Amino acid sequence: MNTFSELWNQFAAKDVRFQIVFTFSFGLLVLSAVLFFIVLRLRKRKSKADRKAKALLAEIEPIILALIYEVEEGDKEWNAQLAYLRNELNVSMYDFHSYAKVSDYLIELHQQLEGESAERIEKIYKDLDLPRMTLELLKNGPWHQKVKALSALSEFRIRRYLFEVVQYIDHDKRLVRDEAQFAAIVLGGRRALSSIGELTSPISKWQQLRLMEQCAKLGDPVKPNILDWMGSPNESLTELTLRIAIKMSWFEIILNVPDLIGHKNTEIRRLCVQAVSELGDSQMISNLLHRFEVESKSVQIEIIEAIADLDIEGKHRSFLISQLVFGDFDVSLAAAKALEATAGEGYMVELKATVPEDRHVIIDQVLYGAA
Amino acid sequence: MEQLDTDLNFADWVFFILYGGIFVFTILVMLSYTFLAVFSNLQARIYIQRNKYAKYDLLLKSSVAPPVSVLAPAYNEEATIVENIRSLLSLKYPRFQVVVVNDGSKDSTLQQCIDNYDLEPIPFQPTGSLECKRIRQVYRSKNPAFKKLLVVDKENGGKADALNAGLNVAQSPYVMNIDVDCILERDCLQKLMKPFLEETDTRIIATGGVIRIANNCVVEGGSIKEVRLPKTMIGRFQTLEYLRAFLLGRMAWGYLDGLLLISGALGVFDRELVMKSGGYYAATVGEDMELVVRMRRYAREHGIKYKVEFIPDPLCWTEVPESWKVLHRQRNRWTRGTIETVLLHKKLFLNPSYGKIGLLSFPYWVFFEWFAPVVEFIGIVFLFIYVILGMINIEFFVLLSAMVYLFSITISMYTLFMEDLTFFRYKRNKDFRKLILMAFIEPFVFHPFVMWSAVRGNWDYFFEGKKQWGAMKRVGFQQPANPDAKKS
Repeated sequence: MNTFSELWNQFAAKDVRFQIVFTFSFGLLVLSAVLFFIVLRLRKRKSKADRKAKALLAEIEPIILALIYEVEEGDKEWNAQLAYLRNELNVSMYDFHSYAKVSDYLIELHQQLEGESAERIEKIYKDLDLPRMTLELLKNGPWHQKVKALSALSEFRIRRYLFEVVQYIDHDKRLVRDEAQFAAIVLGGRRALSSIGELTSPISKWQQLRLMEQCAKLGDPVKPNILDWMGSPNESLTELTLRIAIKMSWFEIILNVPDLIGHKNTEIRRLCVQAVSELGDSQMISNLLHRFEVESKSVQIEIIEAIADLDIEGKHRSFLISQLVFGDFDVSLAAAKALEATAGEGYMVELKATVPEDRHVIIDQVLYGAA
Repeated sequence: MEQLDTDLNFADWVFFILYGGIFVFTILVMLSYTFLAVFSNLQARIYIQRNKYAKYDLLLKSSVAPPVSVLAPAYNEEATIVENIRSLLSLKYPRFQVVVVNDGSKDSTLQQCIDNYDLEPIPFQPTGSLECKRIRQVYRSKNPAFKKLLVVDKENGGKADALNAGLNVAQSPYVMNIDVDCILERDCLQKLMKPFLEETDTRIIATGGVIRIANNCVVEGGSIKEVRLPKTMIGRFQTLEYLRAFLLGRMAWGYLDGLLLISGALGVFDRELVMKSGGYYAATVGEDMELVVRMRRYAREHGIKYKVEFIPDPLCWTEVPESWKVLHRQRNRWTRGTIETVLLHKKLFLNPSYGKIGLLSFPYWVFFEWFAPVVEFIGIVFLFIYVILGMINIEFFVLLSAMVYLFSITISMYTLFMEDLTFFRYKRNKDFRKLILMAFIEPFVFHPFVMWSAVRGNWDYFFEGKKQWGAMKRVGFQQPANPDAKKS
């Protein structure tokens, strides 16, 4: 204190200028000291949380592993061990980090294991009353904890909370609705698909990828439910339906192609061409060729690739040659690849002699497999 | 006598303007750092909450994953090229090709590639038409195991020129530009590509990641096994500086969507937009910043709703100079790069039609990245002159210096707080203690040095017309201790 007043007298007591700078300096000194102690505490807390979680896991891990692999489900020891675990966790569970660690541990185990072992983990998760805590998080937690809760509910297939999960599929926060849509399909299967069909929010490509994988697991029985989504005004849902149909080889989707081939959304048009190509409808090629001149370059290349897949008889070879000769570089390269795929290497060697010289390198590129 | 009075008044005015101007500038710099600190904290929280549960592996088996070309320019890299390519080929991503551009190396870089990857020359017509030095030959491996690899041999033209050649040869809609000697996290492509797939109504034109310092870290099988602080003081200073630059600066600008720089060591770009905006500008030494500014400018001028994303995860580890001479050259070059970019795009400066970029990011770069070292240098010189002439109160000078020093320490403490709050990579307490020590010493040793290098950069640019890159001698990464070697 003495030193402080000495400093004050020496520096700050002179005039306002001094007082301002002195006060700032002193404030910064205090702030940096506070930050230093906060960092120290944070490091200590992180290390302590790590140690605590490790200790907790060290305690419960052998019991959980025994429950998965050794103890018979439902017998006395099963119940005793679960009661012991519940007791252990009851104290720790008030600490969110411990709940999170145990939950994460069970999720990790569940992702690694399959069959009966995975079912047992689901049983342990339920018997430890973790779904109730997860639901609490879903209802009352901030958005990122809602995401975590939804992720846990779908991982452990807690079907009884489907109704609660569906409430979030059009949530304002993208990550909450993404996780809810995924969880809804996992938990509800066919029952949840009609709700997905009513989505108004856009679905990102990343999310489409997740939903596509999940819908594919439901298989052909849900085909009518998913194809119903084509009527939605939500363009991203149309994209998703096309993707799923292509992946699942649902030929019915082709009926929608004539209507969608002139859609204003380029991705939908591109997926239509892909559907024609993947589902093998060669009769649609003429429809695609009608659109060729007005299409964007990426769709033009997609159309050429579709011809490469479908034009076994070589009906459209002259079209491909014209694209090889007159198309811009990318289109020309795609046409050369298509010709090589449909007509073979020998034909390409002969063709090389008949096309302008500046196209030779494209043919060489295809022949040497560099494209 | 009257003339003398007028002279004195004039000197007083000069003193007042210089002194007051520098004081106001210092306060503005401090305020800008304070705002950046606040925004970086917000951004870090958002990112961690968003991505904590992201399952990146989904992309690995997906047909939706867009293809990416990894462009790696190489110049005189014979010692490490084989290992570096191996590391690139082992990235975890379903659809990518690696395009190594040998930029007319004078050593055996190309031969090493040919021998180790069984390369053969192939006819190849590049798809792009960006200006670059002549491509001599394109090579592809005969071994199907390396089918993702393409090696381009071209005449020497510098890094930007090599990247343009790579962009011309690349066949994917996205390109990842890297420094071939960096160590990449295996999942870096998944993390950098995620924003491109996530956005529904905004076009992501580029994503960049955090660069960390690899000197003295333990490297095994092409990836970082143990994070350690560099052994030298100069390396440790740079560690603190990089943490500050990425955890505070870039993170905050990412939050404000005003990022103007994606490090040349790691960034993914929308190839179509790169090509349309003219590719890399080979005549600058700051090609990485210049490209981002030009892409943003192009997107803005063409009414494209776009975004540049910053990924705060440490995705790339690089070796930094551990010699003052090399560091001086590097910082000198960075300054010249900044000046070139600013002057090339001066139209953006305080131009409201460019939105945040014109009114916020660009002026920030002009004032606080370009001008700051120069103003600081002039300020110091004049302060000393005034102190010697007795025109300034010594006590006030000491007090003011103490305030600036304490501010610098506060910002460094905050940086360490952010590091521990987010990624907590420097777990060893002794590393933490060393970083704290660096925070105390840095304002006396490292900062004046960096300031001087920047001032020299200005001098070299305006008075010497210097343009060329400097060479950096690499010492190589630390390998884990070999137990067998120990036994023997």
